[in-house]
Amino acid sequence: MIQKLIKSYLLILAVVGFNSISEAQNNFGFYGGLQLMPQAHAYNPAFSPENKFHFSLGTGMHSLGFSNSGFTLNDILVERAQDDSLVLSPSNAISKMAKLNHLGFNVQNELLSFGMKLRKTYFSVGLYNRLSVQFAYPKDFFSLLVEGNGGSLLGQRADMDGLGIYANSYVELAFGANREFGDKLKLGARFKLLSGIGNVKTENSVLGLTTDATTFDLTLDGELDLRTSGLPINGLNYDPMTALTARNKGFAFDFGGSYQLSERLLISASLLDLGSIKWTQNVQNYKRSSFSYTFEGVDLNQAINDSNYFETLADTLEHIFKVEGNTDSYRAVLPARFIVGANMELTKMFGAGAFLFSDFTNNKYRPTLMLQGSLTLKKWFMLNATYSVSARSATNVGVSVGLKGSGMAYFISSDNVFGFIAPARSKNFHISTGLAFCIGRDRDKEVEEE
Amino acid sequence: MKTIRMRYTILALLLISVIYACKKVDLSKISSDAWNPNLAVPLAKGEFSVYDVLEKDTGDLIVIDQQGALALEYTSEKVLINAADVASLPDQNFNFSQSANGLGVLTVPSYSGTQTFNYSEIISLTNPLGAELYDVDFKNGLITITTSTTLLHDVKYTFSFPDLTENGTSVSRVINLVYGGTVPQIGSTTINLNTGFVDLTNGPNAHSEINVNIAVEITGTGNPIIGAESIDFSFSVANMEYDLVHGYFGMQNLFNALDTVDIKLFNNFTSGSFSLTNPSIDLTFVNSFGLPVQIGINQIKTRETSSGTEYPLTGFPPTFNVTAPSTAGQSSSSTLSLNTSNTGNLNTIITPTPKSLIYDVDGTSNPAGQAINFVKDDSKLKLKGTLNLPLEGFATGFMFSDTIEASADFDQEFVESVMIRLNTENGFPVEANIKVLLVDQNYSLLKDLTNGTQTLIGAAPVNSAGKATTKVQKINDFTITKAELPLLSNMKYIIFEVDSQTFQGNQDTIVKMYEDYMFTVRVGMQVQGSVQF
Repeated sequence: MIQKLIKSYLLILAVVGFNSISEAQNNFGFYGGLQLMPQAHAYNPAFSPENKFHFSLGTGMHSLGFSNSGFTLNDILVERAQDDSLVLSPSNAISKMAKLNHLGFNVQNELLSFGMKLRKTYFSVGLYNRLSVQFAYPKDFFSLLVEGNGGSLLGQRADMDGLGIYANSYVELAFGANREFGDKLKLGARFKLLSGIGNVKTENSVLGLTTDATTFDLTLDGELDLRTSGLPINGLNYDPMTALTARNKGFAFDFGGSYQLSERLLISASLLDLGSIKWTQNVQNYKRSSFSYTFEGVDLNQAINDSNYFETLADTLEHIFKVEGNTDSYRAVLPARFIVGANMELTKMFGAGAFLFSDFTNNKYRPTLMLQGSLTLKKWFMLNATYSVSARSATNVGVSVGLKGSGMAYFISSDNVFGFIAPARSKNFHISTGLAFCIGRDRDKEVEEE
Repeated sequence: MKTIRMRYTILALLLISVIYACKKVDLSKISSDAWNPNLAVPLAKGEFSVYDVLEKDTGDLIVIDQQGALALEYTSEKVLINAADVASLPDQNFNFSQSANGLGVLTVPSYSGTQTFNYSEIISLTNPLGAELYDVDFKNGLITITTSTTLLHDVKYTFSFPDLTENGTSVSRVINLVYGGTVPQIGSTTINLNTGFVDLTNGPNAHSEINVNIAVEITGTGNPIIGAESIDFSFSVANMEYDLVHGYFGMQNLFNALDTVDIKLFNNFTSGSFSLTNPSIDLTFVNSFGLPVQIGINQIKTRETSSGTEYPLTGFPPTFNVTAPSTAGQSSSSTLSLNTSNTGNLNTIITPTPKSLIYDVDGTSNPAGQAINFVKDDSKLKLKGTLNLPLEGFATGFMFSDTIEASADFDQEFVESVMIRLNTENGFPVEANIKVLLVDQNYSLLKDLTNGTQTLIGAAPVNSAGKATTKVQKINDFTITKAELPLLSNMKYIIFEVDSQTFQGNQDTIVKMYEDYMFTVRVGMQVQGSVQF
């Protein structure tokens, strides 16, 4: 029975957790070969399509991703030396983990998109559904689960600080514009009205279990500040349209710019999701102030002399774990990103680029370096390949394909194709696709190209 | 050329991808494995002072000196004599009879005048011990005076007690007999003694006697007086209780007493050698009689309960005088202290694991002869025997055992081994070598947990004054393997066999017990689990 359960658990993890994608949805392709796709505007407001007019209604970009920064399936299932059978090796997986790891799930849907160019100025309107769920798990949490407190954690504090859930679901109505200043500089911005659907925010999470190496005394310390709004969300099937009536309002800005440093070299930078949502609807917060309690075993003196000792002990423990609740509204800042990089046109067909992605999720800075190469075989066919490396993952190869023509622009992209072809060795999985309808060519560009 | 290069490039990329991806995970190849968590938990903690350690048998016996040094004080208190044993006033009757002629009444055929005749009588009180009573302050009692006469006239009796007072006033009573045509004429009256005081020294013997003056007044009724008529009266003294009585109670044996003090300290020990270097015995007599007593000490000994062997004390004084208080209502305390310097072998009779101290004493009153004694109604002579054992000395080979009920009925399927850690920190200069045996309901050995005797509690070292200077920590781990775990299912009892000794007890190093000594024990458990899947 247990065997079946554990195997089932393993399979679920294999599907949900271990094959994953980058921790944030960067959609690297939009910084390379897909830069002229209409959707690229959302990743750097200075980017805009070649066409004078485009729109999508439900067919725009849809992006889906999973990520698990802690370990891969291969890390936890290792081959036995004497045969090719696999054995579960949690200790190997734990050895691959960082102090704090993240299991994430991201969805982004472009519900409506519209853009048009008037001379040197490009205007856009977009309606997006955005959902991200992230579970932060400390390495020691698993060590404690797998090894118990009597193994490597004996005499140590099982550091489970940061254990928490971060979930954010909202609808974004974006108004964007960019403008060329001269021949080289292009600046853009987007203003986004946000309507929150649900949020879970682990504002502060401290949890530690210290086992005394000699006496085995257990000291539990912790602190919790967990804020929620709009829960429960109806799984992944929530209706984004409920956002229209939600009272959780906010706004955010995207800023972007590009500069044609030379004929072949373009540098660009963008600052995305600079804003917040004030969560006021169906708020339920949980707070436990800092505590530390040491259990030294049954106190023989009290147990002998006090007939109510065990009741008192139970009351004490209940008090320690008692969490206060409130319904105070709160503001949650969006995880902002800053991207800076450069593209170089090597030939008419080949291009290359390098970008640094800085992610500021949950007050933590996580950089990713991306190298990119693009191939434009025909005017209607673009191929882009990326290699990205972050602190916890160095084997991410992304591929994007873009097709343009006959009034349509279609792309399909993944930041890590190994999530498909080698899921057991991948920490992240990502796929993104979209179709937009494009009308009109930018005459000025055409003249320039000619 | 460009196209060829591009094709090669794409081919190379595909090849790299295939190589990278070729190693796939086949979940069907997952073999059985085990999850082996190790859990460490504290089970119990106790911190025990000397009071806790000694509480079971001796918790109420501990005394502390100014330096914090401890002693055990075993006491036994016994009332040797009460007031009633020395002075009691039993009910008594006194009858007096006179004839008319004897009283001096003239014989006449018809008498119509009035005459009064006076005379005295003495009431002699007796008591069981033959004591000479000088005065009595009563708190209860009743004198009933009854008169009877065959005179055919009216007769008036007047009884006066010059030495008996009520609230400071002499007591007198009158009985009037009015002749009604029948004889004998009978009358009575009473005297309540609850506030009475009587001086018994005005009689011929100057003790134990009450003077009574009687006046008989005869008023004629015209009937004759023939001279043989009786003129009788009687005193009935009943329920006499005194508040205070003075007298001389003689030189006599008042009591013989045998008393035992249980020395519970050694109850659990089965063997061993110890020496308490400074024991003492105090025999304290508290006397609230106004009566000096000489105590004769017939025997002091210890008796080993298990064998009945007795060890008599030698060299103690044969007699001891107990003083009397000078004022009624007070008490006088006299203590005979016996220690190693005024006895011959006090050390040695305590040393061999005694269980009780026995002393046999008697008492003789007024050893110096005639004196004025007093007895109050609540006077007592009490003996408080105290065995004082300062906890200083040395001991070796002190053994005892204890058995506790225990069970370990838990699901052993997922347990690979269990390790019990005993962690002691001892501030007492006493070590304990302990064997822990797990046994079934028939006391058959399941496991010798300690694998023989182990020093689980180390003795704290002492300085030259015998005081412990530092605590000693001992950590002992006992492992029960998977193969042994099933045995625990049958475990019913845990037997502790303890062999203890004081710090360097085999070298006669003297240790002292102090109030601030502490002993801490902590028990932890580490369980190695194994869950197969």
